[in-house]
Amino acid sequence: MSAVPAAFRHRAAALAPGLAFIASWIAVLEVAARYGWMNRIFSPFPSAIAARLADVVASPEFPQALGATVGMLAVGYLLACTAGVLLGLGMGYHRPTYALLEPTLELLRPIPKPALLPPLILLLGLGAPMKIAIVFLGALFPVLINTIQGVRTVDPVLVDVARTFRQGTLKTVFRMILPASLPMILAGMRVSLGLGLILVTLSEMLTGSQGLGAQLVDAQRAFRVQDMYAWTVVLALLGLALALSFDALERRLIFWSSRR
Amino acid sequence: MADLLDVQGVGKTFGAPAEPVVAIRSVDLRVAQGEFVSIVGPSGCGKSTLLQIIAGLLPASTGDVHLEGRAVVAPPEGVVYLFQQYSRSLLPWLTVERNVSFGFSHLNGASAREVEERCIHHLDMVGLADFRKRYPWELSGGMQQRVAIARALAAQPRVLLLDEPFSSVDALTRLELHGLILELWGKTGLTILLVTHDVEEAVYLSDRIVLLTRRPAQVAEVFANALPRPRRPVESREDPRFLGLRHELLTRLLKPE
Amino acid sequence: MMTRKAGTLFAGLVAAAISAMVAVSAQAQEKKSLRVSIIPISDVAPLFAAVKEGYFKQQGLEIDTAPTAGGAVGIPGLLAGAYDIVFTNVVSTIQARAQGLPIKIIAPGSAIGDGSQGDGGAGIVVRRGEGIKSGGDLVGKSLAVNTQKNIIWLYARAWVQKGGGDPNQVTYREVPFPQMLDALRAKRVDAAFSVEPFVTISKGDPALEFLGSPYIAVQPNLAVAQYVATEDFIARNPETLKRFNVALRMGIDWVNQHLTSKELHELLSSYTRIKPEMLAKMPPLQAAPGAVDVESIRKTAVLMKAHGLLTGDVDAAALLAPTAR
Repeated sequence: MSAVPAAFRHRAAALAPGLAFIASWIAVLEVAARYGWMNRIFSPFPSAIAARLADVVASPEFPQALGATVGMLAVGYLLACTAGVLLGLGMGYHRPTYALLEPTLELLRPIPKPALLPPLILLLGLGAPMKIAIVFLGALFPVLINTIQGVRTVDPVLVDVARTFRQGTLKTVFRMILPASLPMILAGMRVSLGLGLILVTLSEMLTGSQGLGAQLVDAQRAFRVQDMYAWTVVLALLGLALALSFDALERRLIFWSSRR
Repeated sequence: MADLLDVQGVGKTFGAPAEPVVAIRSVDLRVAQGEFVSIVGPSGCGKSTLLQIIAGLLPASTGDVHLEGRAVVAPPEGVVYLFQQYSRSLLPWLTVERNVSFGFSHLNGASAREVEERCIHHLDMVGLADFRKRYPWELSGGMQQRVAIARALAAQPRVLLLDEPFSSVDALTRLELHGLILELWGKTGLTILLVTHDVEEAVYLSDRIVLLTRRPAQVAEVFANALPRPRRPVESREDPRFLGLRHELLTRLLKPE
Repeated sequence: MMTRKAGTLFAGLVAAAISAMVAVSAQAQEKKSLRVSIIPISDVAPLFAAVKEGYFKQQGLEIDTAPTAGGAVGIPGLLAGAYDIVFTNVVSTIQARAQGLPIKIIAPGSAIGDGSQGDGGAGIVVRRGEGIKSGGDLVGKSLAVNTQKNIIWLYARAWVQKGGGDPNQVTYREVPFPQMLDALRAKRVDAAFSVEPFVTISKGDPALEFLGSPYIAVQPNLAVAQYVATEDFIARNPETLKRFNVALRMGIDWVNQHLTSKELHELLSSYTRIKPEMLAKMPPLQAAPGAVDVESIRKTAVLMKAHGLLTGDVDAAALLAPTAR
């Protein structure tokens, strides 16, 4: 009897071809770099990157940088999700509020959020407030818009159920509309998470203070090329970890949504 | 018996002022406490719309509805509407038990213990006490409808409004649910208003049958049902009084107007 | 008389021969048109003077200048082939070399003097009256630098150390040069390592005080920047680089003879966008060096190692191509 559960083995088998594909490309890169087919100086050299990765992770800067990036992301993201959901519930459910705020929303939403970095740096400086602000502004809109959509597309039967059982507005919104909209809200939150990571990394790269982005740019400026790639790998793994965690959370929260 | 429900001159028009669609022209109806009344009519005649107006879910364009003398403008206390699409009316993120408690747990401070007991009691009434920890989507159609009924009853209404509740279950389940409804009605003394397109169902279950015309709806005729109670699934359906009323209703419904 | 077939064959051979000759001669020819990446500051005045006075043309060279933000950008561009020659600060050059990038210094760039000709035009500005007088006073305070871990950051730290303070107890904040004085006035930083024209502007503000140049205090006659090229380019274009140096040194002489003249101010304002009136107010330009000071580079490398910008050693002399001496 195998100690590894069947479900895991099944999933591992499904992933195997894809992983082999990735591994073969890494091998190609390694060979190309070793035999000088690519510009040796600036190209990624997998074995060197792996070695530098080990050093980077073991270095004292690593927990600091990781903590800084994740910290700023977490604060900005959670603020954005809270604000986005609450505002979205209000705007989705209450027509006059929507009419009031929608033009402003439409004006602000299309602004590419990286464009907000220079003004934010001028207004808020280079530290935590600026980083939290940019993550907040970037993460707000997908959550907000998806919440509004989710509220709007709640099954009218469910709304009438709340009505016939005489639930007040507040109870209807939080006990019925919010759970019913959760699939759409979570879809928005997933996009926001990716966007937040991009923006916090970008702000770190531009201000060179703390965090994974700052370390990456630091390595670039000092021509420590393989270090730079190692930090890139760290960022990629962070993104992956965040995505997988989000998936797990989503599965627990909306286990019911495909069953309707 | 006092009139519980008084529907007077209720009409409903939909659509833009330029192109109005008159769903209901004018309906008068009085229902006494404890009565079981069915509303039948051709497809699309506005039966469900009428029921929703009585439930307070839709406003009437003309006329009004009074419940115990008080005007109905929003869903009133003591009235529960049961949806035709029962599957969609159950909250999929809640267990059966929590769905049942959804109808009443928000009301003044019952303790968790009391809420649980009330849920189990009503689930027991519909024979689903063992399924209380399941999710609605794990149950069959008939079971889901029974959960909806349990939820409605747990809210302890005086009036139950059923909108074609059995039209999407299979024939045998339908017969079981008929038995269940009659049993519950007998136990609770509820007033029930049932909208259905199934004439036999109307005759089997109710005290009176209101026949509506094609759209724009009006009351064509109200039939008193002389079929004796208690009603039995096989014997009552063979009773000449059943067959006679059924004959008359079907003839009227199938007549081209 | 030739048959048609023979005629075609002959034409083909001739064409092939001509192509071969052209190809061979192209390989043997060195590059005459050079793309030079520069930072638009007064340090590259000799290059622009040499262009303007026609010295490069005399040597048969054409110079196309491209402004960039500095060594961190220029050197990758150099290695990618976007530029032939890059003007870059010495710290970037040493770091690149330490990482094994195949570049060498091919000509002198600029040097900070020893203070005898003026205060060098770059240095520490503070708010007057707050009691910051030396590097040691910056302990526990914040200093604006344009980029972390560059030459400015390095010499600021050395200056703190010289003033008796621990450079690790100073907070270095990245602020772009144009915003430094505002950040200082708004008390977002306690001191700023600024450059011209902002240093001269700060001298006109009674609320601010110029303390002096960390470069001059720590390492007089610092060879702050040079022109570099790839080893490959150096190997393939020795004649061109010789001529480049000839023309450049003529430009250096011209600048050194016109240090306070109106012509120099006009030249500077043509590529730095600082107005001539402003330039007239600024202290005179430092004299441009005629050769690369290897000793200065050695000292810079030692300082870099001491402050964590370099692990291992770099042979300063090996950084120079023969033309740079």
